[in-house]
Amino acid sequence: MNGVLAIARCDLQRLLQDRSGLIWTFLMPVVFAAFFGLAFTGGSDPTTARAYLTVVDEDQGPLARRLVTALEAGQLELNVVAPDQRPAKPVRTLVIPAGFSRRVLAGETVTLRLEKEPETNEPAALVAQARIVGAIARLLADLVAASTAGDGTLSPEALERLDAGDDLVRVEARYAGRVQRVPSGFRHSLPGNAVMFVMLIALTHGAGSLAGERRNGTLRRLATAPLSRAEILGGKLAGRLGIALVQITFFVLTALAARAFFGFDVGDDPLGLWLVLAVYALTVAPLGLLFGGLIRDPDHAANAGALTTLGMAGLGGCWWPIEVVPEAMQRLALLLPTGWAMRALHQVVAFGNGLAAAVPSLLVLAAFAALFAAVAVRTLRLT
Amino acid sequence: MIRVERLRKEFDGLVAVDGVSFTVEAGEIFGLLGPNGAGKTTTLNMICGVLKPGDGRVLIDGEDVWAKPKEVKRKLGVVPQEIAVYDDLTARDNLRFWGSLHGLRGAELKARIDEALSRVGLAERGDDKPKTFSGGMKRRLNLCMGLLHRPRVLLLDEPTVGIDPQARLNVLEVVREIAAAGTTVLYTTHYMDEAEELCDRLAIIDHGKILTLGTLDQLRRLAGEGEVLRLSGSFDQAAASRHLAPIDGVKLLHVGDGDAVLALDPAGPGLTAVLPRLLDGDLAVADVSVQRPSLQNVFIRLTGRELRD
Amino acid sequence: MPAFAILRRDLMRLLRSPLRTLFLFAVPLAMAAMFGLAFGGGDDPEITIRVLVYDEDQGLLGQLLQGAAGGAGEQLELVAVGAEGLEMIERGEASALLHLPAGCSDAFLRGEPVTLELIKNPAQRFLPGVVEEGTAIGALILSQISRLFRTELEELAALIEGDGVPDSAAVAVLAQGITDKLHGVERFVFPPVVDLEVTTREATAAAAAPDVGVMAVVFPGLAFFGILFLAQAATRDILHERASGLLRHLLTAPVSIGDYLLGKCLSVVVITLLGFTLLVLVGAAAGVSWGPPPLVLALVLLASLAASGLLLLLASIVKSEAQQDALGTLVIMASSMIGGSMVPLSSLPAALLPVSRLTLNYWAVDGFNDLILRGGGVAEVAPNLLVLGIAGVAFLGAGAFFLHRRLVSGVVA
Repeated sequence: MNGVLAIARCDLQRLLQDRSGLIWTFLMPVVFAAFFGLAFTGGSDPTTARAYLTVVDEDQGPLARRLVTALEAGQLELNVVAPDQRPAKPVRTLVIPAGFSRRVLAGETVTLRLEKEPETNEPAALVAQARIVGAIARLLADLVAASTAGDGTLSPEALERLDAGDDLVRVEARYAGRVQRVPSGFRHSLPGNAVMFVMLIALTHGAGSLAGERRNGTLRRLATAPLSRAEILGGKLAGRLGIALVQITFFVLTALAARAFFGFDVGDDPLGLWLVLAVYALTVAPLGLLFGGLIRDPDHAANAGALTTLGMAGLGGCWWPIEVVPEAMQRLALLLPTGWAMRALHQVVAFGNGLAAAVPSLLVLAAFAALFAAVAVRTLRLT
Repeated sequence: MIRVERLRKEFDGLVAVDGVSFTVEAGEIFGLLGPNGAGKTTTLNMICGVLKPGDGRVLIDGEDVWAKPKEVKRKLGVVPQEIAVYDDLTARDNLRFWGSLHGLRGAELKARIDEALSRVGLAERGDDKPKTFSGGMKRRLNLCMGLLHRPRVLLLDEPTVGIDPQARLNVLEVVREIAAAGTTVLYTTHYMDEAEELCDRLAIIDHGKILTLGTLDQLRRLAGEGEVLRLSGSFDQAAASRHLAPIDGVKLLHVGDGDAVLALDPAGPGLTAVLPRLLDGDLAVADVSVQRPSLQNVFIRLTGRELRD
Repeated sequence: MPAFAILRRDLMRLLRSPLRTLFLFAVPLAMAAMFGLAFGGGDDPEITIRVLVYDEDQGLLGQLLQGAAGGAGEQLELVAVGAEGLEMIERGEASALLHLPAGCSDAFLRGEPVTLELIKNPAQRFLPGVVEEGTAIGALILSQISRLFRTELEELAALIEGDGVPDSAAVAVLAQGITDKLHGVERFVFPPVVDLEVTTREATAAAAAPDVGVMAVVFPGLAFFGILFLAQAATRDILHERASGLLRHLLTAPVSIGDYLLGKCLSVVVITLLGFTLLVLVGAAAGVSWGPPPLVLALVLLASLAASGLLLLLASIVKSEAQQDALGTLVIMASSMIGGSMVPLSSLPAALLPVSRLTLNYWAVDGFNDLILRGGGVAEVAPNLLVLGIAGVAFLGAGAFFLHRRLVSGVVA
């Protein structure tokens, strides 16, 4: 047992000597999580991506103003400009044509034009479009109400008199789970980046350093020590696991500090976050040994590890919300440990349902861990 | 102390070690001498328990390495041929790690580290990382790590490869001290002079087989009391054989195009009598050298080849 | 010319270790492949919004909402569930669950307030918002119907609640009333007086592609990100050659430090340029229409120059390869994040855009966006070319100057 710990400690000590390794292990995950958390926290509703909308008001009439008001309630990043102030590179532009108010009041059909740039951010586009349609529906409803109230003539004044507050049918929206606050961008960026970087370190630093030890002979030297093969492998595994746990702990503590000092909303269950990541670390640690054992050249081992991590992170839902990819891809995520880790973390972080709700996913992760460990132990040659 | 019985190992049909047997007594320095690729490292790896023998067995202090690996490994100190240290940890951290694997800790570990470092002359550099060391210093640290736990048996695999004469002397000195203190030493090398200088007994190994084994004196006798003559010039093999073979008082060890090696028969007429006959005739000999009996000659006698550094 | 000999040697080394070279390009290619795989090649979103409908009421409102949802197209998948749906949404099996409480249709008919419950999946970032918006529109329509047809609905409720067969005369009166009121509002609603037409901004230049896929948006950013790493590897070589003594050995030949640096700068730029060209070709194979070749070439050339310069400058101020790894990686990551390589510029927070303009990534990515997405020409990309060119020359010059000074004092002196 002492040998196992000594080997694990030695690996940890070596990571601490590696400047680049330290940056990737500790700094990068935090920077990534903070950046993407902030980048995707936009408008007054932090759940959505930034849905920018530039409104070109060529009409300047009362209905155009009403539409803009409805859009403002629609939680968009709104920028209303006069026709001569069009920005050079707008993302989405809604054009309210001249004569809009007059023609609508006269019962003529007027077409609003939404011009958008081709973009990747289809979900944001969808959100924006839904909100524009919502605002138009609100305007139509007001028109109908104003025309049927009073003397049946439709005038801007009749519209002004409307009180929109008395809608009979209301929708009360809430979130599933126990978190009753609006989820912030961090609740998505924390899990995704933690999952990616824990794997990245195990598969690059872990695999690379193991292959390096084989190359420089230290692994063979270890085999001459009075330790069983199981103890040596156990030590290497414990070392990887220890590094992952230190990394996770640092990550969670930083998140807590960000909450304390900057008021970032990082979820209500840091312990649950830590525990899920710890189980995930069990899965990832043997995977690092597997790569380091199978690939002889340290650089190649680390490179292959980096590529594998990028693949698993992307497909597992660490980069973008898994909901926006086709269903076949969503099923593919369930073949990967990253997919299950994200599922477990969503239960804990987004839903706030606690660790118990994540148990099924954690069991799958444990099965992955057993599989990877078995293969790693079988394939790793010390000499 | 070390008993090696009929060790054999094949790699992909290639026989690397072929029926090697020898014993090393307690406190003895035993040398395993042979050219690169002779099977020295493979033999050593099987002795220290990192390579499973294809056949045969190894007993250390009466115990089978593969039956009780841990007990046996506790008694072993191994200094591998490659510099197996962590470049990114300080020398002291490397030693601390290695010591802890052997169950050393606390004040004892620290004392051992200090002792080991000063023994190899690295006391000043203990807190530096090996990546800042010269080749010789790295070698000495490599040696140091094998001594830390005061093993009863020390296995050294070509510990002086690629270092300067000064550092080499230091390594040999340390090995001698260790042996004097009662440690059994198995030392592999392809340097004749090291083997001659250091070893009580030695085995010469080539192509996976032990060619001969004995004390330095026994081996020297094997080489013959007499000197070895080396002729070179512009002659061809056939002509040289024809001319040299019938001459009395010498034995032809090796002959090739432009060079020939002969052993002088101690019971024969002697160098002065033989020499004119050698140079006689139409053999165009340009140079003759006479070598005192040495392991080099033994090797040549056994293999017909020279053991090159 | 020693500089060319050094360039030739460096290129040979790339060729001699193909695996290592391959890995240098693998990251941007793998990331691009991932985007392609996840989002498909076309620009039609394949997103399906799954909504659970827990209709405890089984009445008029459920039918009305189902009917309205039918207009939302194939992107909406409604799944009728029972009470178990509440657990399904907790497990995150849909974007949202719409709960119609028992008796809500009756209440609606009687003109009483009705509250529908929408339970959103907090693990999803976009779709629940869309569902909420859609449901709100549905509720708005229902409210207006209620307001408009108050008396008729009450009569309808009475008819439904009454025993036996409804009086046909009463039904006729009700129908007439509804028709009259509909007549009053139909000029606004049938068809709606306000219509929305969505156009993806057409490219103004003929050369630009008609259908730009996700690749066209992400590939240039990822390519430049990869190129920065390639330039990092190439410049790190200088530090390696100094540390390993290769440089000292090289200087025993009739080569000056100036020659050496010129050669190294040349090989860094050429390697980066070759890498970028390769990525552009791969992008083209993946369906990216890069735009007019001369402009693409100019942009690739100047972007490579700028990337080489930035990393050379970094190499000139760090002490060791390890520092270059650490500092270079930080700079590359940070500038790629805010410069549009990782998040499309169109999705960056507005506050970041001024900072974004300080990165090379921004000028490269924005230039490619001009060509690929906006169908721009010389006038549009000229500023980008200018910025990249000036930055490239300035960085390369400064980097070479500092390195020269350090090599002279460190190796020769």
